Amino acid sequence: MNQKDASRANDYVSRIIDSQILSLGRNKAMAWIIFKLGDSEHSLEVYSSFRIKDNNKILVANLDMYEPTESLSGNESFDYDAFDWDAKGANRYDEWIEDVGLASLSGLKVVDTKVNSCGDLTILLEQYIEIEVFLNHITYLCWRLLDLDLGNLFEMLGTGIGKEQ
Amino acid sequence: MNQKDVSRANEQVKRIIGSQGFYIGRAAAMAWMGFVFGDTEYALHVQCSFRIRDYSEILVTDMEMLEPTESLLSSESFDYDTFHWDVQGVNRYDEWVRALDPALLSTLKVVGARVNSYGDLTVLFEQNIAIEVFANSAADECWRLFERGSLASHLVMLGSGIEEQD
Repeated sequence: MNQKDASRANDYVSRIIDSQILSLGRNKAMAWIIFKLGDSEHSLEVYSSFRIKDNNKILVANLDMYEPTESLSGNESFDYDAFDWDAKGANRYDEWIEDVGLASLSGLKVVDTKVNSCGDLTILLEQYIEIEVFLNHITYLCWRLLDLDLGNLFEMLGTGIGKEQ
Repeated sequence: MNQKDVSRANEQVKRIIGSQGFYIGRAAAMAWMGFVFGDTEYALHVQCSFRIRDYSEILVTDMEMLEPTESLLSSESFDYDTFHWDVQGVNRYDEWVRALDPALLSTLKVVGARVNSYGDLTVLFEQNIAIEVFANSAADECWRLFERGSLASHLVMLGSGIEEQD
């Protein structure tokens, strides 16, 4: 991505600075996070690799969606071949969101945002928590940011900026 | 990962700096890569997200393993529901690997290698080509580096840090 496009991307995503996390979850393999600032809400949808980390360790990442929870995999009758990762609550990502993520991230403010020249997105929250999106699709949609009220949207593909409204 | 483990990891990955000769492939969804140092070869196995890019674009990624080649996709009889990505040669990753110039591969030199505190690995070649491995699991194996044919321990990087080997 050229410098001009990187600047455009940074300008767009900076609109969530000072907003607070309202909620987070997933829809199949797509992770979503809702940010609220005053009356406006933005939704970040992530289709590529990502993780949430603090200043010490990775807290959760997209591959955790495909791993069974400890209680499931520790069960004697558990069969990996029959494991349905998409069943709500069955995977480690869902478990983390439910047990930890919603409580610890809700209300946290966005302190800074950054899009690098590859299109990777970093969102720095209070308490040194970071959301990092890593582009690992070449032609497809990797992430997008939607204004839920006005319908504006910004898309990042592996090849650069997609739709921008 | 604590500073001591970051240093340990970096000590290990530095071994590939100066290697000249690179090869790449996959086994199921695991990418394997090799770095040649005279008679010594170091193997890198990647089970998490990665991409290879140059200074201006992404060249290939792990997700390309799951995508059909252009020629397959444009075939009238192509059906996504019956597409078996793991068949050798049918996906974009295999296609990209197959198209690599052997002469280029045999001379590609590693000029830098670095692990950060979250276990991400970056390998920098001459000509501004980089392999970027992104640890996207909180606990499972992301990548490992080892010397082929040696009994020495592997450097195994989990999402939670280095896996201690006996």
